[in-house]
Amino acid sequence: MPTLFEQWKKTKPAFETRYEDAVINKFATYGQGANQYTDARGRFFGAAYEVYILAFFIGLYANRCMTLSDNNGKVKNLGVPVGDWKGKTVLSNDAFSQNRKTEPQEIRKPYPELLEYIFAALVARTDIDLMALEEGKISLSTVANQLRKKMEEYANFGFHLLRDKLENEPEKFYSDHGFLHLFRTFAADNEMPEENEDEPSLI
Amino acid sequence: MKLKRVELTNFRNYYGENAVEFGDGVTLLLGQNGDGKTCFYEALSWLFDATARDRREDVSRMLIAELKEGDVARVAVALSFEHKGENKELEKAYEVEITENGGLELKNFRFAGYESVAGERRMVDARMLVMQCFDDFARKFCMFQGERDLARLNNEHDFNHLIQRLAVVKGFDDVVTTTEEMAKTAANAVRHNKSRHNKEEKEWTEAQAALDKAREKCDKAETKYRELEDKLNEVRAKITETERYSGAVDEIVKLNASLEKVEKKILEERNAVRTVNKAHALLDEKWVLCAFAPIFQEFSDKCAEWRKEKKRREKEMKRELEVHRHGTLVNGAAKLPWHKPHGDLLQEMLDECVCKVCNREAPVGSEPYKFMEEKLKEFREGELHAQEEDDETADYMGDLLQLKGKLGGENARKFNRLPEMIAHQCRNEVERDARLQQLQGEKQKLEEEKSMVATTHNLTDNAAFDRHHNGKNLYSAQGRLEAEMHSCEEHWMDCQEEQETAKKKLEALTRPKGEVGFFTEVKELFEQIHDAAVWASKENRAQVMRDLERRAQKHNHALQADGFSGQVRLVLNRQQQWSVALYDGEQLMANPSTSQRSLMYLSVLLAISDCNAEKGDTSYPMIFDAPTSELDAVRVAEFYRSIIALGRQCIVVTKDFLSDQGQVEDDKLKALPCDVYRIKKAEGFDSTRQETIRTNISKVQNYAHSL
Repeated sequence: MPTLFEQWKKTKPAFETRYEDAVINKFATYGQGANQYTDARGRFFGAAYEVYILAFFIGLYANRCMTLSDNNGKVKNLGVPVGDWKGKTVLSNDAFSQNRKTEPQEIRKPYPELLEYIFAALVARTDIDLMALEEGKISLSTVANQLRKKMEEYANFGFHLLRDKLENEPEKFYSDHGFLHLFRTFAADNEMPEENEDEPSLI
Repeated sequence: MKLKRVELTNFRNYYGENAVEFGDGVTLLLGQNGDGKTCFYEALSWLFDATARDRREDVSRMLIAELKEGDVARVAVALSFEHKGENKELEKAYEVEITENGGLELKNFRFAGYESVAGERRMVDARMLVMQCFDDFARKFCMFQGERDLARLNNEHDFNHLIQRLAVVKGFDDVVTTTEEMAKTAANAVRHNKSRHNKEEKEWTEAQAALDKAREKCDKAETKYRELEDKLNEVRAKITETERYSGAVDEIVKLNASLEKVEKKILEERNAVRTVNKAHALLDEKWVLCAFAPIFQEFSDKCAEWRKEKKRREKEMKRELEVHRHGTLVNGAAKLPWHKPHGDLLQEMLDECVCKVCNREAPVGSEPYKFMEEKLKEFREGELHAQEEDDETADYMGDLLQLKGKLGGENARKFNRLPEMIAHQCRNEVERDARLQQLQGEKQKLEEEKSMVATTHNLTDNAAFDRHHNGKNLYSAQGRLEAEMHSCEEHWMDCQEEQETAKKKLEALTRPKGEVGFFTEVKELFEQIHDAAVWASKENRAQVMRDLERRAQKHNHALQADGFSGQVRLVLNRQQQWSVALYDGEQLMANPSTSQRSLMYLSVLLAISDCNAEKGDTSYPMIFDAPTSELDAVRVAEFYRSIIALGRQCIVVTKDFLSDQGQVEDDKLKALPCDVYRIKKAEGFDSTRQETIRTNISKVQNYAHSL
C-alpha cells in the first residue's frame, strides 16, 4: 500500500499560464534542460520545476496563499510528477577543461531530499484529517490532492511576488544573488531561539 | 601585370560565388578577425602556386554540409588580368562529391591558363603563363602576408638577386667574367710553356708565380681580417645597445618578478574561496531551507497532536471492542474477553477436562466442556483476525513520525545553521573579491609600468628583451674576436711582406722576350681590363643602391610621420652582398622595434617600386595581407598615402578603417582615392559550428580612378 508521501509524489501541481513567460521562462530554459551554458544565457535553472519550487517556498515562508484561477484554459501543469522534481547532475564540458585535460567539474547536483521537506511543510500547513484517512473514511488520493492544492496556492503567491519584483526591480533578479537575498530576508524574520540540546527529542 | 577580377567559388569561407574587381590603383578589402581576409589572400597565393593542388580543407564547410550523397559541386579560384597589354586568365578548379558512406571525394582537378589571340580565347599551359607573367621570384617581392613576409628583404641571397635585376649590370658582369677567364688562360699559357723556356724565362716565370701566390695569400688574409672586423663591429654595436638598455632590462626583470608574485597571490585567493552560484545552491545545497525551522516545528507539533489523538482513539476503541464482544456467562459470571485465558491453557483444560478458571470439572460433551471448545475456537479466530488487521491497516501516522525522525535531529540542526553558513560564505566571497580587486589593481599598475619602460627603451618584444638580457655572451664573443683579429692581422702583415719581397724579386729581373714575355703582357692587360670592369660594375651597382637608399630614406621619413625614423641604409659587406639596415646617426641599430623594422622594409619596397616605374620595366601588383598590424594610427595613415602616391596597383587586405564594432569608417575612407570592399561573415551564424559561416564581399566605396 503506498504511503501518503508516495501518493503525493504522483501528483502534478499546476500553475497559471500567465506566469509562464512572465516568470518561469525568465529563469529557466523550459523544455531544454540544464547544461553548462544555462547561466550564460541569464537563466539560472534548467527545468521549470526549479522555479516552481522556489515560488512555493516564497509562498510558504510568507505564509500567503493565492487560489488558482477556475478557468482550465488559464492553468496548466509542467507535465512531470512532483516525484521527479529532484534535479540532476550537470557536468561542465568546456574547452578550457578539455584543453587542460582535467576532469569535468560538477556544476549541478540532484536534491531528492528536498521533496521530503516540501511534503513535511504541506502536511504542517494543510488541514487534513489524518484520523479519517487512517480509518479509511477518506481516500489516500483525496488527501494527496489536498496537499497538491496547498502547494499550488503557495506557489501561485510566489509567482505573483516574483512577477512584481521582476517588473519593479529587474536588475536584482538577473544576478544569482536575487533569489538568495529574498530567502535570507525570510530567515532574518524568523529569529529562531538557540536549540537547547538538553531537551528531549521530539521523536 | 595588372589584376582585373578575381572570383572565388566555394573556397573556404566563401560559399557560392564571390567576386572582386580591381582598379588600376589601390583596392582595399576590409574585414575583422575571422571574416575571411587571409582566406582571400591565400586564395590568390594558391592560384599562383603551380605546385598547389586540390585540398579538402579548402572546400567550403557550408557546401559540404549542404551536399547529399551523389551531389557534385565545384571549388574554384579564377583570375583575369592584363600583361603587356594582353588579356589573360588563370583558373584553378576541382569538383567535390559526397560518396556512399558519407565521405568527400575530390576529383577533376585542373589548372588552366587562357590568352586572347586575335579576339579568340585560347587555352595555354597555366604553369608557363604564371612563369611568364608573375614568376616565383617576382611574387616574393610583391605578395606579403604580415610583417614576417616583409623580412624577406633581409634574406641576402634574395635581396641581392633583386638588386641584380634592378641594376643594369649584366653587360659589365659579362666583361668581368670574360676578362677574368682570359687572364687565367694567359697565365696558364705562361705556366705550361715553361718547360721550353731558357733559364732566364724560367726564373721570370717562377718569380711571377711566386708573386701571384703571395698576392692570393695576401688577399685571403685580408678578406679574413675584414670579415672578422665586420663581425666585431656588429658585436660592438650590440654591446653598445645592450649597455644603453641594461638599466631598462634590470627594471623589467624586477617588474616581472613582482608581477609573478602578484599573479601567484591572485591564484591563491581564487583557490582559497570557491565562488558558489547562489541560485543553484538554493536547491543543490538546500539553502532554500534557511527559513525552514519554524515550519519544521509546526510539522513536529502537528505530528505530536495526531499521535496523541490516535492513542486516545485506540484506547477508546479497545474499550468499545471489549464491551461489544463480551457479554455474561450462563452461570452469571462475567464473560472473559477472547484473549483470556490463553490458547495453550484452554487446550490444556480441554485435555484434562477441567476448567482451571472456576475450578470445576468439565467432562467431554458437558456444557462447560463445549464452552471451553467454543472459547478456544474464538481465541484462534481472534488471533487470525488480529494478524489480518495488522497486515491490512496502513500506518500513515507511523510514516509521518518516521519522516519527522529523519528530518529532525542532526538534519534540523543543519538547516538551523544555514543562515549563518550562508552569511559566512557570502562574506568570504565579498572579502575575497575585494582582495582580488586590489591585487588586480596592483597587477595593472605593474604592467603599465613595465609597458612604459619597454616602450621608452624599445624593448617592446620578448626577443629584443632576451637579446639584451643575455648581453654577457656578447662580451665573451668580443674578446674572442679581438684575439682572433689580432692573430689574423699579424698573419696578413706577414703575407704583405712576403708579397712585397716577391714583387721586388720580380722587378729586379728583366722581363724576358719571347712567348713568356708576350703571354705575361697579355695576362697583365687582361687583368687591368678585368679590374676596370669590376670597378665599373661595382660603381654601377653602388650608384643604383645610392639612389635606392635615397628613395627608401624619403619613404621611411614620410611613413614614420612625426616619430623617430632613423636612417635606412643599404650596406655592402665584404662578400659584396647588400643588406638593409637602420641607423641612429652613425650607430647601427642592431635591434630596431617591430614597427621600425616593418616601416624600414616597406620603405625599401616602395623605393624599388619607384625605380622600376622610372625604368619602365614590367610592374607587378603589390598584394598585402595585414601590412600595418605593427603600426599605430598615424603611421597607418601615412602608409596608405604612400602606396596611393606610388601610382601603381596595390591590393591591401586589412582590418584598418573598421571600428571595434565592425563599422566602416566612411569619413576616413573618403579621403582615400581607392575602391573599397567589405569582407564580412553573414549574419545569423552559429559560432560553434563552422558550416554555418559564410563570408560575403560587398563594395562600399567606388572610386573611378585609373592611372
